[in-house]
Amino acid sequence: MNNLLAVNDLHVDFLLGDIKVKAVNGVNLEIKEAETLCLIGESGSGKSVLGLSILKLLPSNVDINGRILFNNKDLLKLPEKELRKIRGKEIAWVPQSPSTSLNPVLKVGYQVAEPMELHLNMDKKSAWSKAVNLLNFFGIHPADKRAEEYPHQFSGGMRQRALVAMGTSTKPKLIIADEPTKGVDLIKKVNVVKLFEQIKRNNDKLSLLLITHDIPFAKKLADRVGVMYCGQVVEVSNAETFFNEPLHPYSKALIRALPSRGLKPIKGITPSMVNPPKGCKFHPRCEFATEKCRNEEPPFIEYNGSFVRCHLYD
Amino acid sequence: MKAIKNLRYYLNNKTFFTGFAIILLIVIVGLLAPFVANDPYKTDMVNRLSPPSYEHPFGTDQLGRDLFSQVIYGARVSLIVALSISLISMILGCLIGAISGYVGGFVDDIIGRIIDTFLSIPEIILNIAMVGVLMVSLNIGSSIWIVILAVIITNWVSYARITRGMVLSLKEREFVNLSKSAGASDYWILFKHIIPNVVGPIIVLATLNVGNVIMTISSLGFLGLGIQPPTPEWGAILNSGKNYLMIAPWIATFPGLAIMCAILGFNLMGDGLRDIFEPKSRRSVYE
Repeated sequence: MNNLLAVNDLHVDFLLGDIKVKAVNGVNLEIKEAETLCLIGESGSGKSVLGLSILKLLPSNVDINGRILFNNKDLLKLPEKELRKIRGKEIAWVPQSPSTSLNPVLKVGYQVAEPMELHLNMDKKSAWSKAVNLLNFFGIHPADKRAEEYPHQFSGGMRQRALVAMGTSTKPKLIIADEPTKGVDLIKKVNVVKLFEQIKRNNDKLSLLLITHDIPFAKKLADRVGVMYCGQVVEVSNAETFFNEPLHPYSKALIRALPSRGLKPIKGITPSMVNPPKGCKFHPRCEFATEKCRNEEPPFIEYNGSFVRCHLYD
Repeated sequence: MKAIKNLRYYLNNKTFFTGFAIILLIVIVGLLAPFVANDPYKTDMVNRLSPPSYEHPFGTDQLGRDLFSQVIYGARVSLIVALSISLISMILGCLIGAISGYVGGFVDDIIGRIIDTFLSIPEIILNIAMVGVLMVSLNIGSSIWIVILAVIITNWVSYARITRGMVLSLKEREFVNLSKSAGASDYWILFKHIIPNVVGPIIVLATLNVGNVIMTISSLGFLGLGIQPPTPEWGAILNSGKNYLMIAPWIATFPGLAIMCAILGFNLMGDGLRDIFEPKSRRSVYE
């Protein structure tokens, strides 16, 4: 299958005065057509920043280096005007917090219709009726009345569905969803899973990049799983491989930290992103760490069809 | 139809209703002036300084002009001038403030300093200075246009300051990022997402501001810098009445009361609108 999106050696640095925070530090990642890639990792591992940098939506005090190829176009080199044609049309973004991501003074239907108005040359009326159809499809009833309402009249789950409706409205090739299960309780999480299954069913060519730190959620949806630690992707494996025999020591530790697998916490804390440790970023917390790990940064290599960044597999 | 439905919703608010009723009354009286009042310019030296009576409900002034007619025609002048000043400075201030806040950087620094400079001078003094400067530089006597221009120059600042502040915080909100991620341009975001968020508070400010502007115009009129007699303007009538305060107090009283009513009406309306424009006060019928 073709690569829809290929991220090559991406570096994202936040410049805060004299300090440089290395949020993303040499990431290589590929998303194929029609696959669901789940990006998991702790808070502050750079997952969201990676997602946002694909769309170049980061604040201005950011330095992005590397290449992000989407359909063989380097997104980082595209001028703003060209980028606007891709945002929302080819790559859609479903933001982290449904409660603050909708404009409080605009009707929900209008906001769902916005990408269609921007990209599909639809006039207001037809975009609106399409938006009503979409809201109906995602289980908001009665859709025509609800579209006339304002975001504060919606519940959290409904807002999220409205955002997903907005994201899928232009039939994009890739949807990036940033922590769709954030603040959703266990029972409602099933609905979120169903929601994404519904999207996939609706458009079987669609690729999904799900950014989450919810491993059971990832297990339900992922075709492949990427693990991020300290601004680096340390492992990319097929979902099956990942949940049965993860390669990287950090992935192993993550799986063991699951309540269903013994709830063993990973010792130590995430290192500072201002001065990350030398060598392998995970070595201070790794039980297999050797002298080599402390001094040499491991390369990102292929191993049995997976990709891993660890000296154990050199 | 929708406007009527909305108006009925607004009128459920008692504060707004009271203010709206007062303003509506003043507007109707102003519109019907030729039918309810006599010629405000007609002098009658025989009946000068006569107290309120059936013939002259508000009495007459030092030239025997009917005060009732003057106050009613004054409503036309005051309302038209105050509303146009508020409208123009609202649009001007909003645009300048929104651009300043949204663009940021160098543009914001310059506009921000200009706003600060204007705010550092007491408004009435700035107004007096502006009228003086405009009169000298345009080389004409004080006219209605000079008053309008001078008050706009000092009045747009408060709109710009508030809009700028709101835009500064609004542009960091997540819905702006979402709209950007959907492919919207800066122009689209500013006019379709940010300005609608600003409109509610700005309309409240504008309504309250109309009262202020009426006061400013009257103050300028009272100081002899505003709209000049014989144009019946409330502040100017008040000014001419101050010399006869001891023998004919009605000359100053009735235009003063008119000013008070107009300001009260606009302030009540503004207060009511502030309550109404809280979108949180609307609830879904499906809950």
